[in-house]
Amino acid sequence: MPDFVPVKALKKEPLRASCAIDCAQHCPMDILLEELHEMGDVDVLVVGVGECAYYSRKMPFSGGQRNWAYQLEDREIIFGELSGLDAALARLTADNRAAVCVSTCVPSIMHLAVPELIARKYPSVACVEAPSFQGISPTDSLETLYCALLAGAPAGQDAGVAVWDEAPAGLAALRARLRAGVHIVRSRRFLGLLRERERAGAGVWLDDYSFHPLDWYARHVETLRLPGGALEAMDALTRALAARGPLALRGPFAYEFALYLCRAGAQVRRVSFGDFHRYAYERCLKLPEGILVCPENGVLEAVPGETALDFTPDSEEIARLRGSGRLLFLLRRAEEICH
Amino acid sequence: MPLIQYACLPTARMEMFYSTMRYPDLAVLDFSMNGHALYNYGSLPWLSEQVVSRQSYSTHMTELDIALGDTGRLRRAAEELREKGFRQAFLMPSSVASVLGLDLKALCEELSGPDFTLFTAPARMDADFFAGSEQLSLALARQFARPEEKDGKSGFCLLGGFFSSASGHDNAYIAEAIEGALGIPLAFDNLNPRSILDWRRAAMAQVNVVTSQSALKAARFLQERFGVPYFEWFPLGKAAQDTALQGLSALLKKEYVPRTDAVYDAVALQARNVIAFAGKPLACYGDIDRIRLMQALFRELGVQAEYICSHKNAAGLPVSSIDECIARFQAEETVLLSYDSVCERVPRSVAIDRTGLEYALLTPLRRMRTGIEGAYRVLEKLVDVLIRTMDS
Repeated sequence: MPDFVPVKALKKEPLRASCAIDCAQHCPMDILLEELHEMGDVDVLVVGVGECAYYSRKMPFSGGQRNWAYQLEDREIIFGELSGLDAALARLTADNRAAVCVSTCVPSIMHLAVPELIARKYPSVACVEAPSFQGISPTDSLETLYCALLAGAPAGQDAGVAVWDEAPAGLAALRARLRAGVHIVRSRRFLGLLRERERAGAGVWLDDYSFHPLDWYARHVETLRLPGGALEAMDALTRALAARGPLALRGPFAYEFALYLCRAGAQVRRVSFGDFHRYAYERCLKLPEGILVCPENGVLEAVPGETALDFTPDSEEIARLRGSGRLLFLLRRAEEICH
Repeated sequence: MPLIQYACLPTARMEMFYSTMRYPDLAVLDFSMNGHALYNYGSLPWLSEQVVSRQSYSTHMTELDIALGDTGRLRRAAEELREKGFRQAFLMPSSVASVLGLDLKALCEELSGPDFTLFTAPARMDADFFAGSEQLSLALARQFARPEEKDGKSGFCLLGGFFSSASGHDNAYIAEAIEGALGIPLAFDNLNPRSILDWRRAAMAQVNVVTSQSALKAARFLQERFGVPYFEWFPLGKAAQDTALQGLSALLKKEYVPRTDAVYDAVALQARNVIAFAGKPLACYGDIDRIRLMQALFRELGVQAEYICSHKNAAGLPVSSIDECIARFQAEETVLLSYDSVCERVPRSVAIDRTGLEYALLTPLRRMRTGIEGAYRVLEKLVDVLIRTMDS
């Protein structure tokens, strides 16, 4: 039975009560290859051991998009001798196409100078270090990917609003999107890019993936194109929930909803969710002390005096929605569950 | 060059993982990262005849474990396996353990007890599937083969084969051929086992039949330790199958009289004629076992071919990577018999083996097999390709 633990005790790793494996766990290399396959216009070179090379063949790249692997030999790993990799990169980049080099577990453990080699000699190659022992979920590597791919690309020169959501887009399309003056981010994979570009002051970047206090939505109601009456509805529903008494939340984005409600004055006692990743971890750490969390989607046993809000039956709908739409949906569902 | 553009072969660790998964009472434990350790990308094992989750365990490792050399997760995992009732477990020689310099053998000795055996097998970082199968077979023979006092020697055992080539189907055919011809029962098939303890029968069999050269070391060990003779079985085609059955029967002091097969003789003659008429050079690229089979068949037909091995071998055959092979034969007129992933990229080719990354239902119709049936299948495909090259 999954445990609920105090927020401070939440560990920065996947919590597993058992070592028995499940099918769903992939490594960052696999996640990155799937993403790059969808993008369609970036070549890939995976650097790793035999298993990395073998399983990278699983992804059927087509249309001229290259999916290569470089299998490190003993002497390369032990002595850090990268002349072979240098030659492979030279071949990959001979026609100056955009490429990503995915550095996997063993090169990372051995601190092989792969990023340094690429930075020095191959400007058209984005290096992504994606070892499986870092991060919480392999999907965390997607933030790193997009930061690396779009590093140095000009942003904010044009007018217009760009929306960064889940729909796959090639590198050329992303670079074009980057030129907009205003950017609305609705996918976790672009949050790293948002933070970088905000720091650099390149354009206006709105994080419409996280949930914000209502005054933030009020300031950006035009840009976000919130439907008429949405703000008022969010306000009324939030107040009602805040007055409800102790709450327990379960389902996708339960941690995000809990944080929103806590900031609005609600009493949240327990939060349960699946799909644990770096973003979820960072958001959980912002929850007030005393809240119990379960990142293994533990069932909410009934507690007298506590209102349990279980959104797991609505998982598909929640996953389909974006940003403020997701928040409004959760508020409305919470109201329905309470009555 | 270690650059891979097209395809590559499974590693030693992968071969060990999938082979050990065949034993329902043997837990497979990987002291490595979860995603890295599962080797189940794309749900491949879930779409095969094996069920991965039943006995596969992974400790996961974090940066802190790596930096501090903390083996606490491994100890807890071993404890969990004991509690779940496993009496035997195989500790995977992961690549991460290799670079960290962990002494897995010492850890196994420390974590084993009277009712729980944890053992491992060595695998070099860049060792291929053949080396993995070799080391695993030897480790299993050393760990589990021992004669039961009450039983005498009986039956034959099949040792060898790889997960990627789905050799388990071949073994069923081989068992049938031997049982039918010599009347001795199959005691143990290492590709279709019921228990890890079935390895005991390899110490008590009348003969161990080696179906892959990767099992030779294990077979020699069993002969030296327990006096069980072994016989190498690599027939493709009727002549080679008859020779194999005669050799095996002589070893067992039985009699085997080959029968004439007019149908096979006619097929072989036609194939010989087509090959000669087409006049195309032939080449075989594969593992050493597949090459031995093709050598047997082509010897029977009197056909010359070039043989290239996909891994280091004791037979002195030249070695080539898959990419090098593809690059060479894409441009040549040679008809190549090789892995499916090679044949996808070489126009004049016949697939005689698989590298294990497709999701097809592995019926006997898709298998080259051995013996007479195997010869029919490969000759049919070869003649088909040769006739197409003559048409174009």
